[in-house]
Amino acid sequence: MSTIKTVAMQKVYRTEDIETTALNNVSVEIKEGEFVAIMGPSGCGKSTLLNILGLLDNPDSGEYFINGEEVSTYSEKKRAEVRKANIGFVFQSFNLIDELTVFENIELPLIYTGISSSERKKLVEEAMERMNIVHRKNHYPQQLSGGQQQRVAVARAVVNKPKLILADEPTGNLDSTHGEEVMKLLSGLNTTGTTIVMVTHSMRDAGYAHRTIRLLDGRVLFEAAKENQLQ
Amino acid sequence: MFKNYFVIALRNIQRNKLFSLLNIAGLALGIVSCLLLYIFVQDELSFDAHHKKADQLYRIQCFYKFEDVEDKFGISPFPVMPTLKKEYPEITDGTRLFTLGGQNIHKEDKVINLANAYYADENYFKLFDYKFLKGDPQTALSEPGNVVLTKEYATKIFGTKEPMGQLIEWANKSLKVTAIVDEKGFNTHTEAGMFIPISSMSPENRKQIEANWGNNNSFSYVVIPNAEVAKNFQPKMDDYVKKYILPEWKKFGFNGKITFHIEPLRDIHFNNYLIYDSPKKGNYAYVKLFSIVAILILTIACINYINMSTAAATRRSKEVAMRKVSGASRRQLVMQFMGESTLISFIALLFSFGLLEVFLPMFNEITGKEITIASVLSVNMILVVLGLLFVIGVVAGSFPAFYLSRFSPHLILKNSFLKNGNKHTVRRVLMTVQFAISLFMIISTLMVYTQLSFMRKKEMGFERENMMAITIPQSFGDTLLVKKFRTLKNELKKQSFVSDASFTAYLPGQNFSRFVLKVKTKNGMEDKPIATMVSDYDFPKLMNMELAEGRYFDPKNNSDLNNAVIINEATARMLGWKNPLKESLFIPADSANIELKVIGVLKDFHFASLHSPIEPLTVFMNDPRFTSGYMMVKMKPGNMSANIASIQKTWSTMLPNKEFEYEFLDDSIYKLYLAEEKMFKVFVYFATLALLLSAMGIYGLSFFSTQQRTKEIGIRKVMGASAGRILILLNKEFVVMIGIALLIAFPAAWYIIGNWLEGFAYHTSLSPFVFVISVVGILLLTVLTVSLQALRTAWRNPVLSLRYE
Repeated sequence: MSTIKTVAMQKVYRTEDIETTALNNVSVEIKEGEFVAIMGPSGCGKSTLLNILGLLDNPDSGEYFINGEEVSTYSEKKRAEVRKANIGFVFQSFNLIDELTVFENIELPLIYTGISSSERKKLVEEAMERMNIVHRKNHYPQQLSGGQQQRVAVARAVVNKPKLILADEPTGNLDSTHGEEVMKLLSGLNTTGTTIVMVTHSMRDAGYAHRTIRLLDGRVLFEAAKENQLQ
Repeated sequence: MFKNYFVIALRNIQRNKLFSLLNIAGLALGIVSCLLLYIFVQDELSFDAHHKKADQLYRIQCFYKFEDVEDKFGISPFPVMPTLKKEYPEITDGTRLFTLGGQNIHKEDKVINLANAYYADENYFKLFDYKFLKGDPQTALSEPGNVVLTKEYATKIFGTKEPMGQLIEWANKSLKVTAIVDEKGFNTHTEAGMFIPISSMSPENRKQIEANWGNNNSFSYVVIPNAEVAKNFQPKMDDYVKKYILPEWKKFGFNGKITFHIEPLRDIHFNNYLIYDSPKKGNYAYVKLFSIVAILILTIACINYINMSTAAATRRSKEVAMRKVSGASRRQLVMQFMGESTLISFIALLFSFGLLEVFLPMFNEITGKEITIASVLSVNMILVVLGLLFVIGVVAGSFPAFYLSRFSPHLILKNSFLKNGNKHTVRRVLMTVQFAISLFMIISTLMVYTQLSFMRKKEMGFERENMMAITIPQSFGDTLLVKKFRTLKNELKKQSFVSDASFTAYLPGQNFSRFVLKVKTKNGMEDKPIATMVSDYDFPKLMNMELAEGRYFDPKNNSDLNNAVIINEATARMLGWKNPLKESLFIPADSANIELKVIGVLKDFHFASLHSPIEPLTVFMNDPRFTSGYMMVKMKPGNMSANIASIQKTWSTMLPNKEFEYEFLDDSIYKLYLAEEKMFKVFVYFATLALLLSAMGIYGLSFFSTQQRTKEIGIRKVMGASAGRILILLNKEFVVMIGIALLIAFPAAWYIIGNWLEGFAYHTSLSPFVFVISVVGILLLTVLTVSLQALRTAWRNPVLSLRYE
C-alpha cells in the first residue's frame, strides 16, 4: 500500500427535496509515509472524503486507486477485507464500545482478522504500552478521561499495524493538553512509516502534517506543503 | 392535565406504530386466552351450582373392599336413603334416582331407544332444580304413570308435536308426559333422560327392591342443612353401616369391609375415583392446569408490554426530562405512565372481545362445550375483565412507570443515562422467564401428544380393525326375540364380507362388572371380586384373544355352558395358581356353590383403557339366556358403507321395529382417550399462542436492542466485522437467555410431565428428543426473529450509524 489516489471523485447526498454535493471532482494523491491534513469549514466534504478513502463509503463516480488497484467498485465484503488488513481509524468521538473494557476495545480489530488469542494478547499489550495505557486495561471507557479514551482509540487503530491511519478530528473533543498528546502519538506513528490522513479544524494540529489539502464546498481549494502553509 | 396525558398517550400509540401494534395485539391475545380459560373454568365449576340446595345436598357413596381390591360406587342400594333419614333427624330430606339405563319405549308401532332412564322419587324435582320448559316441578312426578322427558327425548319421540299429556308405552305400562325439562338448561352431574316416578313400579317389584341391600342401583341424595354436621358425619355413617348394612351382607357370607360416605353435591363433577357413576365428569386437575396455562399466557403478554415499554423509554426520555424540569412530581409521572398502560390494555380489551367471537367456536369444539358470548356475559365476567384491566394496567404499567420516572433530568438531557451501567437486567430476567414458559409449553404439548398416540396405537391384545359392534336391545325375557338375534347372527355370518359374528355383554374399554366369586384356599373358601366378561362361546376367538393354555368354549360340550370359565393370566397370578387348568372358581349360591372349571387361560390383554393396569378377568359363556349388549361383527376389508347398508337391511327385515345402532370398535377405543385429546388440543392452542406472543416479544426487544446498539454495530463494522458476525452478536444475548431458561424449564417439565405420565398404568417415557426439539424450536424462532430485523442494521453502511456521533 504505497499510494492512494482519487480521480474526479464525486459524491452526492440526496434527501427528498435537497441534493447536496459533498464531493465535486476531487482528485488527490497521498504517498506512502505521508502525513496529510484535510481542512475546511463544516460541511465542505472532509469527512465524506475520509470515509471514502477509508472504504467505508463509495463514491458516486470517479475512480479510487489503492496501490494501482481500482477499489471504488469493490463489494462491501471485499472492501471490508482491504479495510481490515490496511486501515486504522481514529474518530473525534472516540467510538469506543461502552460494554467492553479497554483491552477488549483494542482487541476488537484483531478478532475480526482471525488472529489467535495469544497473539492478540501480545499485540494488544504492545499497543497499550505504546499509548501508555497499560494501567487502564481493565477499565471501561466511561471510567476514563477524554484524552485516555482517545489514546485507547489510537491504540485500537494501530494494533493491527495498518499502513494507513485515517483520523477524523482526533483532537476535536479534547482539551489542548490532551490534544497535543494525541497529536504527538500520531506524529510518532508517522515517523515509523505509517501513512496518516487526518481531518481537522485546528491549524495547530495541521502543523504536524507534511501537507494540507483544503476543501471548500466539495472541491479541493488548494494543496500546500508544510513550508508554504506556515507562512 | 389528564387531557394532556391522554393526547400524549394517543400520539405515542400513533407514532410508535410497531411498538403499539405488538403491545395491543399481544395483550389482546393474552386477555382473550384468559377470558376463554375463565369461561372454561367457570363452566366446569358451575356444575350443580344452580340448585337452591346445592350446598346442603350430599350423595351417598359406597366403598366395598374385598381382600385388597376396593370398589368405590357412586350408586347405593335402594333402601339406604329412607333408613338413613329415619336414623338421623339432622338429615331433613332425601331423594333417589333408581337407574334403569337404556330403555325402549313404544309409541304407536315405533320402538324408540332412550339411552338414559330413571325411576325417581316423587320429590326429586323439588330438591334438584331443573329448567322446566313445560309442566310443574312440584307435581310432575306426583302420580304413578307420569313421565318427565328431556327436550331431546320429547323431540325424538314426538317430533314437532306437542308432547304434554301424550301417552307412551314402556314395559307394558302407559305413561303420561307431565313435564319437559331442558337437558342443556343447567350443568348437572346427572345425565338427564326419562324420569318415571317410583310409584309407577309394580308393588311386588317395589317390595323386592326395598328389601335388597346388596344391589347398588340408585343414586341416593340426602339434605343436611347444617354444614358443620355434614362435615362430621362419617362416624354416624360408620354406625349406620354396622347397624343396617353389615347384617344384611353377612347373610350371604360376605366378609369384606364396607364403608359409606357422603359426597358434597358440588364435588361430584370432579370426583373421578368412582365406578358406576354419572358419566359427565370434570377433571379438577385439568381445571387447575388450564388456569395455570392462562396465567402463564397473560404473564408472557405482560412481560412483552413491560419489556417493550422500558425499551421504548429511550425514545421518551426527553419528554420525561422536560416534564420533570417543568415541575412534574414523580408521582404524577407514575400516574401518567400507568394511565397510559391502562389505556393500551383497554384498547387491547376491545380487540380481545372481537377475538373472543372468533375463538369461541374453536374453543367449543375443543372442549365439547356449547358456550356463547351471551351466556357468559355476567356481572362476574365484567368483574374479571375489570380485574384484568387493573392487573395489566397497574402491574404491567408500574415497572415502566417507575423505570421512566426515575431518571434524573440532567442525565437524560445529556443523553448519558443509558450508559450508567444499565444492563437491562430486569428486561433480561423477564425475557428469560418468557423463554422458560415457551419451552415448558412446547415440551408439555409434545409429551401429551406422544402419550396420546402411544395409547391409541398400543397393541391391546385383541383385534380392533373392522369390528362392528351392533347394539342389541334388551329382550325382557322375550325368548322369541332372543331367538331372532341368534338367527340374525347366523344370517350375517353367511354374508360374504362378514368373517365372523358373536355376542358380548360389554365392549373392551367399557367398565366390566365385577362379580364376587369364591376360591378354595388353605383357609377355606375366600371371596374374590373379579371383573367379568359375559360373552358368546365364540367371542374370544373372534376377537383374536390369544390362549396361553387350554381351550375356548365349545358349544357341543354341555358342561361349558354352566360350569366352565376362561380366565386371564392376571387372575392366575393373583390366585397364585401354578396349573390353572386344574383349578375352579365358584359362584356363591344359596344352597351349594356352583363350580366353574377353568378350561382356558387367555394371555393378558387390555380390556380396559391404558389408564389402569390389566386386572384379573373371567370370561363366562352366556349363550341362550343372552339378553342385552352387543353383537360384534368382524368384517372383511372392503366397501364399508355398502356392507353396513347390507347389514342394516338384514336387520330391518328380521327386526322391523328395532332401532339399528352400531359403532366400530376402534372408534370406541379411540374415545377412551378423549380427555387426553382434549388436553392435547388445548395445549397445542395455547402453546402456539405462547410462541406467537414470545416471537412478538423477541421481535420488539431485538428491535430496540438493535436500535440501541446501532453505534456499537457501526464501530464493529468499521473494525471489520462481517454481517454474519453482527448477527451472531445480536443473537448471542438471546441465546444466553434461552440457555438459562432451559435450566428452569427442563427440570420443571421433567417433574410435572413425569408426574402426569405416572398417572397412566401404561405410558411412554420422557424422551430426550422432545427436549431437544423444544430447544431447537425456540432457537430457530428466536434467531429468525432477531435476524430478520438485525440484518437491516448489519447490512447498513456503518458510516450512517456513526455520522451523528
